[in-house]
Amino acid sequence: MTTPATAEAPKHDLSRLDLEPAKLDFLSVKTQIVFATVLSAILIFTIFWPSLTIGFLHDDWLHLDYVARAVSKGDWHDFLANFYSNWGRSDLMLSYRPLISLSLLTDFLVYKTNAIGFHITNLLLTSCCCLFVALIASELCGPFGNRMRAATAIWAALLFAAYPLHVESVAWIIGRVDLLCTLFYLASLYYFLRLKLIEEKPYIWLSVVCFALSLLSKEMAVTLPAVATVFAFLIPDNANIASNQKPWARFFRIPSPLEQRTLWLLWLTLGAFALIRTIVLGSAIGGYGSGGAGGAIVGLDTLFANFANRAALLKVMIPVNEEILPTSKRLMTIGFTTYIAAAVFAGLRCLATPLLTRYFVAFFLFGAISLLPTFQIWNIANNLSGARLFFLSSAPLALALAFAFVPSEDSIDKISTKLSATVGVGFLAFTLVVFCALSHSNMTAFSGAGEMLKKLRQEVSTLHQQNPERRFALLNLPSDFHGAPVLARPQYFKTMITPPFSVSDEGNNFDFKAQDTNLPNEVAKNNQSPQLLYFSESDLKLHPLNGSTDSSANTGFSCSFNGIKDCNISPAATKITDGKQWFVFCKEQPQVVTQVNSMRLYPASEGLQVFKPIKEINPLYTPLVRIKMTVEANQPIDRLLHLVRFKWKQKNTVLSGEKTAPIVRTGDNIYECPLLDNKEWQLGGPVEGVGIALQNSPYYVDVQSIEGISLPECVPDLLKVSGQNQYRFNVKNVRDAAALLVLISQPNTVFDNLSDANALKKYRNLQVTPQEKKLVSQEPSLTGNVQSWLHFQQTEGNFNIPPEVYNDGKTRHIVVVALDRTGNMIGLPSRILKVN
Amino acid sequence: MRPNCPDSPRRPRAPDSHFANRRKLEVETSFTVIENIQQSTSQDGLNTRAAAANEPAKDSLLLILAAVLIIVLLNFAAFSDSLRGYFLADDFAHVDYLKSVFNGHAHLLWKNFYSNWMQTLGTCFYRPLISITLASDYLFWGANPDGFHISNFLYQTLSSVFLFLSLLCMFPALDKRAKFSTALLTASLFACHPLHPEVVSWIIARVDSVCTTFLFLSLWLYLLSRHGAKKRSGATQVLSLIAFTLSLMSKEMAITLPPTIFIYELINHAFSSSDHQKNKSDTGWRAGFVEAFREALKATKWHVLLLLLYLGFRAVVLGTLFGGYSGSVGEGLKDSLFRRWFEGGSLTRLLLPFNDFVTEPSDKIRLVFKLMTGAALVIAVARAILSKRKISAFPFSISPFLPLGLIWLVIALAPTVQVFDITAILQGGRFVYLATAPVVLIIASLIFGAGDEKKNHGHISLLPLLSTALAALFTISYAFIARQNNQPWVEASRGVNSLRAGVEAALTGRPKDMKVALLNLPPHQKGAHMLYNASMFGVTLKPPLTKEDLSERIITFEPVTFGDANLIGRTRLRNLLADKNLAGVFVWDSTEQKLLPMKGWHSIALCAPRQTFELAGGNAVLEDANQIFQSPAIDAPSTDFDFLDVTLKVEPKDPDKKLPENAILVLGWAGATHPIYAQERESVQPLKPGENTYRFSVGELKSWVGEGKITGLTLNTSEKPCKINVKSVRFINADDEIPTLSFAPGTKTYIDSNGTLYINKDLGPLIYDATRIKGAKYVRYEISRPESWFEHYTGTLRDKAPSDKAFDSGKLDNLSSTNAVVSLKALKVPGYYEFRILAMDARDKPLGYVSNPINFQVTPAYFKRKNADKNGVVESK
Repeated sequence: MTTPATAEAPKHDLSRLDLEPAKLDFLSVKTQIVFATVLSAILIFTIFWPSLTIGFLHDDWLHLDYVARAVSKGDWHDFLANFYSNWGRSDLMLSYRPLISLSLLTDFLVYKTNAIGFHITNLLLTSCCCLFVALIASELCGPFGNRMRAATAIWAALLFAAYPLHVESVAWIIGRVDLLCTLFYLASLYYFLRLKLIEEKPYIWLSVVCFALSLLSKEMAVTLPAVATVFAFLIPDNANIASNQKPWARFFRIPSPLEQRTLWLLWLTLGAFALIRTIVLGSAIGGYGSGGAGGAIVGLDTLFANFANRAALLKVMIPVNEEILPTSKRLMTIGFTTYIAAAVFAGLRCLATPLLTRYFVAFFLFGAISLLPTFQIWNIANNLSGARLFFLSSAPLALALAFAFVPSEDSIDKISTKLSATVGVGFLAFTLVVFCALSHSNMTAFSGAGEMLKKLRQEVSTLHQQNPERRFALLNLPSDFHGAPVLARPQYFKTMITPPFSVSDEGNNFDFKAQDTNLPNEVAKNNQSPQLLYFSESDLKLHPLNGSTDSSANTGFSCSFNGIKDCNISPAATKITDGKQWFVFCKEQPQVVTQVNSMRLYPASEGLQVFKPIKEINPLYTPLVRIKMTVEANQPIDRLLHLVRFKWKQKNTVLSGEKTAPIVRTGDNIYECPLLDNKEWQLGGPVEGVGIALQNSPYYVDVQSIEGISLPECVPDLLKVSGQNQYRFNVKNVRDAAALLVLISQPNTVFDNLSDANALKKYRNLQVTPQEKKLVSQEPSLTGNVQSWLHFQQTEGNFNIPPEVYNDGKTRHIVVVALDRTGNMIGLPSRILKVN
Repeated sequence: MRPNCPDSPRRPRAPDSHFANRRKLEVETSFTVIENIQQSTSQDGLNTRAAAANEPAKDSLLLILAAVLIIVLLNFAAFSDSLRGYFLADDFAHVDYLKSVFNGHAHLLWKNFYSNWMQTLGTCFYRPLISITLASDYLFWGANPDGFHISNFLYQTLSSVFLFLSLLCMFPALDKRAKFSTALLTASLFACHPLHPEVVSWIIARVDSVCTTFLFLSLWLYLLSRHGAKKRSGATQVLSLIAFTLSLMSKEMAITLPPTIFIYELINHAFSSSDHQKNKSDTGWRAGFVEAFREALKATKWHVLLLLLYLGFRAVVLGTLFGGYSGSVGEGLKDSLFRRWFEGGSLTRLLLPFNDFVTEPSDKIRLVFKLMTGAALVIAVARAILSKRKISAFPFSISPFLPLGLIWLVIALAPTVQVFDITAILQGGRFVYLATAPVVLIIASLIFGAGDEKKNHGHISLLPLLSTALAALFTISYAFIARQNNQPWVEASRGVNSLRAGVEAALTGRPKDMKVALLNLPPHQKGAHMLYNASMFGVTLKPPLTKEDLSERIITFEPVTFGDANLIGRTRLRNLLADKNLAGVFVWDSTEQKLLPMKGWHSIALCAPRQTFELAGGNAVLEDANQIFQSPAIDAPSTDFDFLDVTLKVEPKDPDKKLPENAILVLGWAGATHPIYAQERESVQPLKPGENTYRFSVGELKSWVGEGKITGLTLNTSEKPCKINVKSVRFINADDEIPTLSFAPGTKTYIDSNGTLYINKDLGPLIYDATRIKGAKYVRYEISRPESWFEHYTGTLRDKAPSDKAFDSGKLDNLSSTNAVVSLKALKVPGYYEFRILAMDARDKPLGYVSNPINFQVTPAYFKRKNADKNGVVESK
């Protein structure tokens, strides 16, 4: 028979009992949340303590510049521009994030130029995010009674606090974009969930206001209405589905009128934001590039391919910076253990309490939907660059893990609860320890980046103090340290060395030179003033560029590999044999077999490097290397080419000291290596030896010779004819050149090496089809950046830019490349000219 | 409704004292629960659910539909990749056959009903329904493989669904929840069984799925007629017999149905009467068994009668009661009967269905499968002890599905005695398609048992939870492995398509008399069948699969039917290379799934064959398994040489140690096509102590000949560390040891692209020459048994002695001839034969090696003519 308890059930909903005040036991929500917040804040400050000394990095300077100008000089124009135009006037993306600028201003007003204060704000914001993760976890546990409720909330907050992908957002000041956005996002979601229990109108407005603030922090927040809708329909009111309810009640619920009204308001707020953004920026959607939502919808396949990025998903699961801690099988096993265990636990719990499935579905949808706005750039590199994109989505991940391991419902018997709780908490503790260890490891990249920038600044100050009147030009700025951003852009450098961030105005004495075809000319022209310097990332010091000014001598070289005489072979245990005799071949040992006109190199599992000394040459004037060799394998050669690299020897170290570069196949047994934008090659001083570096794979290489092509033989000349609106080209000296191609960029699009959209990065990837005379490339972005092009079947002459191309008054870049008889690009692109 | 209510009309049996105590306990517990409001509110729904769990739930239509949906989805999850597959191996014979059927030869379909299936030589089957299903696919889809694959998928799905429905109708006395769970898990595992890719992805392997579909349908209908509404009992019985007939017309495996039903009836009788029989004496038990036996016999009488009718009809139609495979294939199967069943782990693969190429033997997933099986056993034991229901014969509780599954497994495996073999790469999985049903039934019955275990009131207890979790884990693991095991089939389909496209590309734009030679057709890809001979491949190159007929423009070197596909007649290839109409020579690379051109074949053809080539020796110590002895660079055409003579001495590094008897010498080679040494290009011989000359018959290996140019050799031994001293390596052209044999040019009879001659008269004219063999006095010829090949028995084309397997042999008096004709009077039946010659000395001792064989097919017309001549002679007498 039906028990009286069943009939009474709705009147005694357990979750409502939580509202009874002032029980200071562990079942009190307040106690639980305070505990969760304090614990997670302690954890955050412990893990991210080293971030306090990092200082400002990279894009921080962009925003600090206008904030500092506003406060120090009263120049509020650029600061206020954030409220009515593109944020920070970035040339890379369109965004509307005035709240971030406001938070930076507040910090600046409090802490001035002391970066520690800014970092403390970041840590506090992260702690607040943890608070709301705990609140949401506690709120979601409500329908299942109080057993283990606190545990779920605390573990969710702790996992969120220690998640190793957070380093980029927490340790980098401008990473607060995600912190603020997530904070308000989670707050808005929490207040919305609160409505389910307490139908009070203030929660509606709290939810909407927090959503608006989240939107003003970062566009990632646009998914909130969708996520709130998912939660409204999926998260049940209580743990029981009464038998008299409709069949679909097993799968979803209908939100209460108040919830429905809030949802409408959230969607309306989103609409209003889209309108404001369109008015301010001219586009409702889209941040990076020109793709926009339209592009994404057209290319649904591409969109899917973007998100089905296996490497990025692996990074989400095992968030380790591979440049600091190389992944190993053991690490993968440790990392996957958590997720496999979580899947087993979640599966078992869903079997015991099918209603819980809806929670996990909701968490999955929360994570997936909140990732959607990253459609243009979703990727997490091996060095965790781009990890910030997953900051918001890590909240549902932490919630899902906590929910999987801690049974908060009362539907399983006591023995099962005890058993699963004990094992589950064990797994959670294990996961937390792993997360903390990985976070600590990942932090070292940012500590290193801070250290590097500090050293650069010290070097600049010392130089300035020693030579206050002298002008200097920096040829390279450190861009990143194991994935942690450093500086990269000259304007950031300028901001860094000018007041209020510097005591004296050192910025006036420093200049910056781009690394392109024009550099050798400038080096030759400006021999003494300004003095050319480069920053070495190995010893963290500034070095003068010596011995690189003589363009006439020591350019180009030829080196044949017809014997092991003078050859430098590593590893030392490499076996060298004569190709005329039988010999013992060891699969695990690299081997060199001398042939009549070549050397056969077997890399084995540990790899092999062979190089020969050459008469010292000036790398600035030898930007292209041609290698004659045969790569033999049982599989297509193109698949292995990434394992074969050109190697050289120089005295100086500029970047990491890895003096190798990838090669491109350009003909039968001919491979080329463009070195125009290779800082290590160009700035490392005279080249003393060249060779080949092979990595492990089932292949061997018969290397015959390596040849260095001098600048005039591979780079076309491009000059503006003085006094006229005419340009002069000359590709006569370029080897095998039969024709010429002039590329004119889209308005305000640059061809230079610093731009991510560099049209010429892909070597030899341009062709003018002989019959149709069409410009083609395997890389659509190459031709996409070209507005117009001119084709000349001659190797020398003058040309005018068609007036219709640039009658809009916008800036464009032009560049010339040489073509062979078949219309394929050869050699390197010419210097880039800016036309207006 | 509370589960402990004594008046509950839903409880089928009267409570015993144990139950009364338990109820009391539960009532007390429930009061405790009611007093605690906090708990009762959260538990209320669970109590209701627990109550529902104890009720014998009805199998509502919605629930059954949901289960069917799960089965379909699992099928899709495991085998969706197959839907875009292509035709493979024997499928091509059927495509060709269907093309004939739909081009004015419809009677061929009808012929299957009263003769051997497709009238194929070498096999003896009665399967007319399969051709009907194929023809219906062809009717709707033409030669589009998608349609055929959709049908295959449908048969697999239907058989899974009918299995589920059948099991659901069994054992009416069994706890419904346990029965439903067992049926669903069995059907789910059957739907995504890792041994099923062969049946699902290989179109012609539908033989098994079609047979099983109708078999399970017949079983379901039978059970409906037994346990369902009596009104329709007669009609469903008739329908069951019709389905059984269709099953019998699909594959001989269907004969297992009547014994299966019989066993079911016996077990059902024992199970349903177990409660009442507990106190009966032994005599009563025996009487009960006789009664049960009679009842079972009565119930299955119509199916047994139908089976007897079928066997009689089949014997009349085929002329044999058993049938199956004959020729080399049949002989091979007979010889390996014990090995196939009890060695090599065939039976183990029923529980651990892993393809060694797909899942490494060391892969941890294998351990997962073992642990899952162990867990199923543990759960079964726990449940057996905890459950109250006991069968009289046992002191503990078991599901009646368990004995049924065990006996059914034996019945389902019995007809496969002749062919049973599940190889390490899962070839032959189709033979146990039906047997996988009892295997998964055993697993499911272990997991879910007979139900009725003790339940903790108000909570979901651990045991059913673990059972469900284990069932879910089994299902996920099976689906995962099935999908992985299916990948070779997907790759095989892609490979055949790629091969066809490659040949098309090579011939496109060439004059119509230009041909291409394909050195090796890919027989299989990690166990998935691809192409076994030229006639199969020829079908891919002609309408309806291509627009233009290119089948006559390829030259291949495969055996006519099954055989060692790695052997090649070097001299035939050498002669072909000089053919002006040859547009290219290609080698199929199975790793890359790509057609590779044989490098430098043209230059090889232009030069006269080199007679010998010698490499200087060398010596070294090979320390460990990673070291091999490698030759200096070589540049020798692979098609010029028959043998490689390696003279060397290998001894252990430790002088006190002797060379073990099982030590081997491995010769490896690299060439222009594959510059890196790999296991596919190795040949092995036993290693002997002291200095010896080892002769490697490399010229008959496609992996050697296909390289075009040999660029290097390696020598390796299994004995390490060892001293190896190579005295010399000689490449031998053995024209003075091997007699030449070929068809005379301009032979008017048809020779196919594989070099097989089709004749309806005596064999000839032939060209042969044994004059270069020193001491030769005459030439002996040998003709193989029908559908048999000499090299099947010895594994080489280079036999040095006459074969004891020859069907006919004779003497050719001349040492050479350009128009020899050999009488075929001794032959009895039409079919494929092999012919070869061997030089003999004056003492009738063989000299040198046998010639490269030539294949021919004797058509029925030959025997008609022979009989006519015979009759004519009689008449004239």
